Amino acid sequence: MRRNVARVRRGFTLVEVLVGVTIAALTLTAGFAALGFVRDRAQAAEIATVTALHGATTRQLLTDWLWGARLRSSTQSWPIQGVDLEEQGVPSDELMFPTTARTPLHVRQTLVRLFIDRDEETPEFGLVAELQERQQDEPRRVQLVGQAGSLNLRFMPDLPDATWIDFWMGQTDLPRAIELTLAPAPGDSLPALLRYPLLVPLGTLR
Amino acid sequence: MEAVVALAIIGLFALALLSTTTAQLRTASKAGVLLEARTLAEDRVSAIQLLDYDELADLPDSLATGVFAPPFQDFTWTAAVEEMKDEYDLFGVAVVVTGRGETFPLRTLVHSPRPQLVTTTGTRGAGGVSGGGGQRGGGQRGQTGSGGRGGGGS
Repeated sequence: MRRNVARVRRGFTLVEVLVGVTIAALTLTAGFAALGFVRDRAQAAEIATVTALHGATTRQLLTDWLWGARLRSSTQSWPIQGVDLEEQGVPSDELMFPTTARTPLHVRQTLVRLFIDRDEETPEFGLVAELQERQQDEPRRVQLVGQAGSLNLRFMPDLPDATWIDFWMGQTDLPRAIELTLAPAPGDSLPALLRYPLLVPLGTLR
Repeated sequence: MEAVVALAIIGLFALALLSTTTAQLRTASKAGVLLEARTLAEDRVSAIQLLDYDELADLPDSLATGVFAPPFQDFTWTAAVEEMKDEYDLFGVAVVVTGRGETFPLRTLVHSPRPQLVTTTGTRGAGGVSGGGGQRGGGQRGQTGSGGRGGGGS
Protein backbone atom coordinates (compact mmCIF):
# COMPACT_ATOMS: atom_id res chain seq x y z
CA MET A 1 0.00 0.00 0.00
CA ARG A 2 2.77 2.46 1.03
CA ARG A 3 4.79 1.51 -2.11
CA ASN A 4 1.80 2.45 -4.26
CA VAL A 5 1.47 5.90 -2.62
CA ALA A 6 5.17 6.61 -3.17
CA ARG A 7 4.83 5.69 -6.80
CA VAL A 8 1.88 8.08 -7.14
CA ARG A 9 3.75 11.02 -5.44
CA ARG A 10 6.90 10.80 -7.68
CA GLY A 11 7.41 13.88 -9.95
CA PHE A 12 5.57 17.23 -9.96
CA THR A 13 1.95 18.03 -10.39
CA LEU A 14 0.86 20.20 -13.32
CA VAL A 15 0.27 23.16 -10.98
CA GLU A 16 3.76 22.88 -9.51
CA VAL A 17 5.33 22.78 -12.96
CA LEU A 18 3.27 25.77 -14.12
CA VAL A 19 4.21 27.78 -11.05
CA GLY A 20 7.87 26.86 -11.49
CA VAL A 21 7.89 27.78 -15.17
CA THR A 22 6.07 31.07 -14.46
CA ILE A 23 8.58 32.05 -11.76
CA ALA A 24 11.49 31.13 -14.01
CA ALA A 25 9.98 33.10 -16.90
CA LEU A 26 9.38 36.16 -14.72
CA THR A 27 12.90 35.98 -13.31
CA LEU A 28 14.47 35.59 -16.73
CA THR A 29 12.38 38.43 -18.19
CA ALA A 30 13.31 40.79 -15.37
CA GLY A 31 16.95 39.74 -15.59
CA PHE A 32 17.18 40.23 -19.34
CA ALA A 33 15.40 43.58 -19.13
CA ALA A 34 17.80 44.79 -16.44
CA LEU A 35 20.78 43.45 -18.36
CA GLY A 36 19.62 45.17 -21.55
CA PHE A 37 19.14 48.47 -19.73
CA VAL A 38 22.56 48.27 -18.16
CA ARG A 39 24.15 47.28 -21.46
CA ASP A 40 22.55 50.28 -23.21
CA ARG A 41 23.82 52.58 -20.50
CA ALA A 42 27.27 51.01 -20.69
CA GLN A 43 27.32 51.48 -24.46
CA ALA A 44 26.33 55.15 -24.09
CA ALA A 45 29.00 55.67 -21.43
CA GLU A 46 31.60 54.00 -23.62
CA ILE A 47 30.70 56.23 -26.57
CA ALA A 48 30.93 59.29 -24.33
CA THR A 49 34.32 58.17 -23.05
CA VAL A 50 35.66 57.50 -26.55
CA THR A 51 34.39 60.91 -27.69
CA ALA A 52 36.04 62.62 -24.72
CA LEU A 53 39.24 60.69 -25.38
CA HIS A 54 39.24 61.81 -29.02
CA GLY A 55 38.82 65.40 -27.93
CA ALA A 56 41.48 65.20 -25.24
CA THR A 57 44.08 63.52 -27.48
CA THR A 58 43.50 65.97 -30.33
CA ARG A 59 43.91 68.89 -27.93
CA GLN A 60 47.07 67.32 -26.56
CA LEU A 61 48.48 66.78 -30.05
CA LEU A 62 47.90 70.41 -31.02
CA THR A 63 49.34 71.60 -27.72
CA ASP A 64 52.47 69.49 -28.16
CA TRP A 65 53.03 70.76 -31.70
CA LEU A 66 52.63 74.36 -30.60
CA TRP A 67 54.94 73.92 -27.61
CA GLY A 68 57.52 72.55 -30.04
CA ALA A 69 57.22 75.77 -32.03
CA ARG A 70 58.32 77.75 -29.01
CA LEU A 71 61.61 75.93 -28.64
CA ARG A 72 63.05 76.75 -32.05
CA SER A 73 61.61 80.21 -32.51
CA SER A 74 64.87 82.11 -32.55
CA THR A 75 66.78 79.88 -34.98
CA GLN A 76 64.26 78.65 -37.48
CA SER A 77 63.76 80.34 -40.80
CA TRP A 78 60.04 79.70 -41.16
CA PRO A 79 57.75 82.28 -39.64
CA ILE A 80 54.85 81.61 -37.37
CA GLN A 81 51.94 82.85 -39.34
CA GLY A 82 48.32 83.10 -38.35
CA VAL A 83 46.10 84.29 -41.18
CA ASP A 84 42.68 85.74 -40.57
CA LEU A 85 40.87 84.60 -43.69
CA GLU A 86 37.53 85.99 -42.58
CA GLU A 87 38.57 89.28 -44.14
CA GLN A 88 38.79 87.40 -47.46
CA GLY A 89 35.31 85.98 -47.04
CA VAL A 90 36.45 82.55 -45.85
CA PRO A 91 34.85 81.69 -42.50
CA SER A 92 38.02 80.18 -41.11
CA ASP A 93 41.63 80.94 -40.22
CA GLU A 94 44.93 79.25 -40.99
CA LEU A 95 48.01 78.70 -38.90
CA MET A 96 51.52 77.87 -40.10
CA PHE A 97 54.36 77.17 -37.73
CA PRO A 98 57.56 75.13 -37.52
CA THR A 99 57.73 72.62 -34.72
CA THR A 100 60.33 70.36 -33.24
CA ALA A 101 57.66 68.21 -31.66
CA ARG A 102 57.21 64.65 -32.81
CA THR A 103 55.07 64.43 -35.94
CA PRO A 104 54.20 61.58 -38.31
CA LEU A 105 57.13 62.69 -40.49
CA HIS A 106 59.64 61.70 -37.77
CA VAL A 107 62.03 64.51 -38.69
CA ARG A 108 63.88 67.05 -36.55
CA GLN A 109 61.71 69.97 -37.57
CA THR A 110 58.36 69.98 -39.29
CA LEU A 111 56.48 72.81 -40.91
CA VAL A 112 52.83 72.48 -39.88
CA ARG A 113 49.94 74.14 -41.63
CA LEU A 114 46.59 73.87 -39.87
CA PHE A 115 43.51 74.70 -41.89
CA ILE A 116 39.95 73.66 -42.65
CA ASP A 117 39.85 71.55 -45.79
CA ARG A 118 36.70 72.13 -47.85
CA ASP A 119 38.12 70.67 -51.06
CA GLU A 120 35.88 67.77 -52.03
CA GLU A 121 38.56 66.35 -54.32
CA THR A 122 40.88 65.52 -51.43
CA PRO A 123 40.18 62.53 -49.19
CA GLU A 124 40.76 64.62 -46.05
CA PHE A 125 38.22 67.07 -44.74
CA GLY A 126 37.59 69.17 -41.66
CA LEU A 127 40.61 70.27 -39.65
CA VAL A 128 43.64 69.07 -41.59
CA ALA A 129 47.36 69.40 -40.89
CA GLU A 130 49.80 69.61 -43.77
CA LEU A 131 53.25 68.49 -42.71
CA GLN A 132 56.50 69.19 -44.56
CA GLU A 133 60.15 68.77 -43.71
CA ARG A 134 61.22 71.27 -46.37
CA GLN A 135 59.10 73.84 -48.13
CA GLN A 136 59.69 72.25 -51.55
CA ASP A 137 58.53 68.82 -50.31
CA GLU A 138 55.16 67.40 -51.14
CA PRO A 139 53.17 67.92 -47.94
CA ARG A 140 51.76 65.00 -46.03
CA ARG A 141 48.17 65.61 -45.06
CA VAL A 142 46.69 64.39 -41.79
CA GLN A 143 43.01 64.71 -40.99
CA LEU A 144 42.68 65.75 -37.34
CA VAL A 145 39.00 66.56 -36.85
CA GLY A 146 36.71 65.53 -39.67
CA GLN A 147 33.63 67.23 -38.23
CA ALA A 148 35.26 70.66 -37.93
CA GLY A 149 33.77 73.35 -40.13
CA SER A 150 35.71 76.40 -39.03
CA LEU A 151 38.86 77.36 -37.16
CA ASN A 152 39.15 80.63 -35.32
CA LEU A 153 42.55 81.85 -34.10
CA ARG A 154 43.50 84.53 -31.63
CA PHE A 155 46.97 85.62 -30.59
CA MET A 156 48.10 87.45 -27.50
CA PRO A 157 51.28 89.50 -28.09
CA ASP A 158 54.01 89.11 -25.50
CA LEU A 159 53.61 92.64 -24.22
CA PRO A 160 52.38 94.10 -20.95
CA ASP A 161 48.60 94.55 -20.88
CA ALA A 162 48.28 93.06 -24.35
CA THR A 163 44.90 92.12 -25.75
CA TRP A 164 43.97 89.36 -28.17
CA ILE A 165 44.46 89.99 -31.90
CA ASP A 166 43.22 88.00 -34.90
CA PHE A 167 46.43 87.52 -36.89
CA TRP A 168 50.13 86.94 -36.33
CA MET A 169 53.28 87.09 -38.43
CA GLY A 170 56.59 86.55 -36.67
CA GLN A 171 59.97 85.28 -37.80
CA THR A 172 61.47 85.22 -34.33
CA ASP A 173 58.79 86.52 -32.01
CA LEU A 174 56.19 84.24 -30.59
CA PRO A 175 52.88 85.32 -29.21
CA ARG A 176 52.46 84.91 -25.47
CA ALA A 177 49.55 82.60 -26.20
CA ILE A 178 47.47 81.18 -29.02
CA GLU A 179 43.81 80.31 -28.74
CA LEU A 180 42.25 77.91 -31.22
CA THR A 181 38.49 77.50 -31.40
CA LEU A 182 36.80 74.94 -33.60
CA ALA A 183 33.19 74.94 -34.69
CA PRO A 184 31.34 72.05 -36.29
CA ALA A 185 30.48 71.88 -39.96
CA PRO A 186 26.80 72.59 -40.76
CA GLY A 187 24.71 69.59 -39.82
CA ASP A 188 27.58 68.02 -37.93
CA SER A 189 28.58 67.93 -34.29
CA LEU A 190 31.89 68.16 -32.48
CA PRO A 191 32.99 66.50 -29.25
CA ALA A 192 32.49 68.94 -26.41
CA LEU A 193 36.21 69.06 -25.66
CA LEU A 194 36.91 70.19 -29.23
CA ARG A 195 34.28 72.91 -29.13
CA TYR A 196 35.95 74.33 -26.02
CA PRO A 197 38.69 76.85 -26.91
CA LEU A 198 42.25 75.51 -26.72
CA LEU A 199 44.56 77.95 -24.95
CA VAL A 200 48.29 77.32 -25.45
CA PRO A 201 50.79 79.57 -23.63
CA LEU A 202 53.94 80.08 -25.72
CA GLY A 203 55.66 83.28 -24.68
CA THR A 204 59.40 83.09 -24.08
CA LEU A 205 60.23 86.67 -23.16
CA ARG A 206 58.35 88.63 -20.57
CA MET B 1 13.55 21.47 -3.37
CA GLU B 2 15.97 20.92 -6.25
CA ALA B 3 14.13 23.50 -8.32
CA VAL B 4 14.37 26.07 -5.54
CA VAL B 5 18.11 25.47 -5.17
CA ALA B 6 18.59 25.72 -8.94
CA LEU B 7 16.65 28.98 -9.06
CA ALA B 8 18.66 30.35 -6.15
CA ILE B 9 21.91 29.52 -7.92
CA ILE B 10 20.71 31.14 -11.14
CA GLY B 11 19.53 34.17 -9.18
CA LEU B 12 22.84 34.58 -7.41
CA PHE B 13 24.72 34.23 -10.69
CA ALA B 14 22.47 36.81 -12.34
CA LEU B 15 22.96 39.22 -9.43
CA ALA B 16 26.72 38.87 -9.62
CA LEU B 17 26.65 39.47 -13.37
CA LEU B 18 24.41 42.50 -12.95
CA SER B 19 26.59 44.05 -10.25
CA THR B 20 29.70 43.50 -12.35
CA THR B 21 28.10 45.16 -15.36
CA THR B 22 26.89 48.05 -13.18
CA ALA B 23 30.39 48.56 -11.80
CA GLN B 24 31.76 48.58 -15.34
CA LEU B 25 29.15 51.17 -16.28
CA ARG B 26 30.09 53.36 -13.33
CA THR B 27 33.77 53.12 -14.20
CA ALA B 28 33.17 54.00 -17.86
CA SER B 29 31.05 57.02 -16.90
CA LYS B 30 33.61 58.15 -14.36
CA ALA B 31 36.46 57.82 -16.87
CA GLY B 32 34.69 60.06 -19.38
CA VAL B 33 33.89 62.72 -16.80
CA LEU B 34 37.40 62.68 -15.32
CA LEU B 35 38.92 62.96 -18.78
CA GLU B 36 36.92 66.12 -19.41
CA ALA B 37 37.69 67.45 -15.93
CA ARG B 38 41.41 66.88 -16.48
CA THR B 39 41.35 68.78 -19.76
CA LEU B 40 39.46 71.63 -18.12
CA ALA B 41 41.95 71.71 -15.24
CA GLU B 42 44.82 71.95 -17.74
CA ASP B 43 42.99 74.82 -19.44
CA ARG B 44 42.92 76.68 -16.12
CA VAL B 45 46.62 76.00 -15.60
CA SER B 46 47.28 77.41 -19.08
CA ALA B 47 45.37 80.55 -18.16
CA ILE B 48 47.38 80.89 -14.95
CA GLN B 49 50.64 80.46 -16.88
CA LEU B 50 49.85 83.66 -18.76
CA LEU B 51 50.01 85.69 -15.56
CA ASP B 52 53.07 87.64 -14.60
CA TYR B 53 54.79 87.56 -11.26
CA ASP B 54 52.62 90.15 -9.54
CA GLU B 55 49.41 88.57 -10.73
CA LEU B 56 50.56 85.16 -9.59
CA ALA B 57 51.44 86.56 -6.18
CA ASP B 58 47.89 87.90 -5.93
CA LEU B 59 45.68 85.70 -8.08
CA PRO B 60 42.79 87.61 -9.69
CA ASP B 61 39.35 86.56 -8.47
CA SER B 62 38.31 85.72 -12.03
CA LEU B 63 40.92 82.95 -12.06
CA ALA B 64 40.56 81.83 -8.46
CA THR B 65 37.12 80.36 -8.88
CA GLY B 66 34.38 80.17 -11.46
CA VAL B 67 32.13 78.20 -13.75
CA PHE B 68 33.31 76.95 -17.13
CA ALA B 69 31.76 78.26 -20.30
CA PRO B 70 29.35 76.08 -22.33
CA PRO B 71 29.37 73.21 -23.09
CA PHE B 72 30.94 72.63 -19.67
CA GLN B 73 28.73 74.89 -17.62
CA ASP B 74 28.14 72.07 -15.12
CA PHE B 75 31.82 72.11 -14.15
CA THR B 76 33.32 74.56 -11.68
CA TRP B 77 36.89 75.22 -10.64
CA THR B 78 38.85 76.63 -7.77
CA ALA B 79 42.49 77.58 -8.14
CA ALA B 80 45.11 78.50 -5.57
CA VAL B 81 48.63 79.79 -6.14
CA GLU B 82 51.34 80.00 -3.54
CA GLU B 83 54.95 81.03 -3.87
CA MET B 84 57.31 78.18 -3.12
CA LYS B 85 59.33 78.94 -0.04
CA ASP B 86 62.66 77.44 -1.01
CA GLU B 87 62.58 78.20 -4.72
CA TYR B 88 63.10 81.39 -6.63
CA ASP B 89 60.17 82.76 -8.69
CA LEU B 90 58.47 79.39 -8.55
CA PHE B 91 54.81 79.10 -7.74
CA GLY B 92 52.79 76.06 -6.75
CA VAL B 93 49.46 75.95 -8.53
CA ALA B 94 46.57 73.78 -7.36
CA VAL B 95 43.43 73.56 -9.47
CA VAL B 96 40.38 71.55 -8.49
CA VAL B 97 37.67 70.93 -11.06
CA THR B 98 34.32 69.68 -9.83
CA GLY B 99 31.33 68.57 -11.84
CA ARG B 100 28.98 65.71 -12.67
CA GLY B 101 29.65 64.11 -9.30
CA GLU B 102 33.41 63.94 -9.75
CA THR B 103 36.35 65.98 -8.53
CA PHE B 104 39.70 66.27 -10.29
CA PRO B 105 42.62 67.89 -8.47
CA LEU B 106 45.66 69.01 -10.44
CA ARG B 107 48.91 70.36 -9.02
CA THR B 108 51.76 71.85 -10.96
CA LEU B 109 54.58 74.36 -10.73
CA VAL B 110 54.75 77.62 -12.66
CA HIS B 111 57.88 79.67 -13.07
CA SER B 112 57.43 83.40 -13.56
CA PRO B 113 60.37 85.76 -13.06
CA ARG B 114 60.05 88.90 -11.03
CA PRO B 115 59.74 92.16 -12.94
CA GLN B 116 63.17 93.44 -13.85
CA LEU B 117 64.06 97.05 -13.34
CA VAL B 118 66.60 98.43 -15.81
CA THR B 119 68.75 101.25 -14.48
CA THR B 120 70.52 103.87 -16.56
CA THR B 121 73.70 101.85 -16.40
CA GLY B 122 71.90 98.87 -17.80
CA THR B 123 72.30 96.63 -14.77
CA ARG B 124 69.46 94.67 -13.36
CA GLY B 125 67.68 96.06 -10.40
CA ALA B 126 65.35 94.44 -7.98
CA GLY B 127 64.95 90.77 -8.45
CA GLY B 128 67.76 90.25 -10.93
CA VAL B 129 66.79 86.89 -12.16
CA SER B 130 69.24 84.30 -13.21
CA GLY B 131 68.11 83.02 -16.54
CA GLY B 132 65.87 86.00 -17.09
CA GLY B 133 62.52 85.81 -18.76
CA GLY B 134 63.72 83.42 -21.36
CA GLN B 135 63.38 80.62 -18.89
CA ARG B 136 59.70 81.12 -18.56
CA GLY B 137 57.78 78.11 -19.55
CA GLY B 138 60.71 75.77 -19.82
CA GLY B 139 60.15 74.18 -16.49
CA GLN B 140 56.59 75.07 -15.94
CA ARG B 141 55.16 71.66 -16.30
CA GLY B 142 55.74 69.22 -13.55
CA GLN B 143 52.25 68.18 -12.81
CA THR B 144 51.77 65.81 -10.00
CA GLY B 145 48.01 65.69 -9.74
CA SER B 146 46.24 62.41 -10.22
CA GLY B 147 46.05 61.69 -13.88
CA GLY B 148 48.06 64.76 -14.69
CA ARG B 149 50.75 64.88 -17.33
CA GLY B 150 54.06 64.16 -15.73
CA GLY B 151 56.83 66.43 -16.89
CA GLY B 152 55.04 67.41 -20.01
CA GLY B 153 57.23 70.42 -20.53
CA SER B 154 60.49 70.60 -22.26
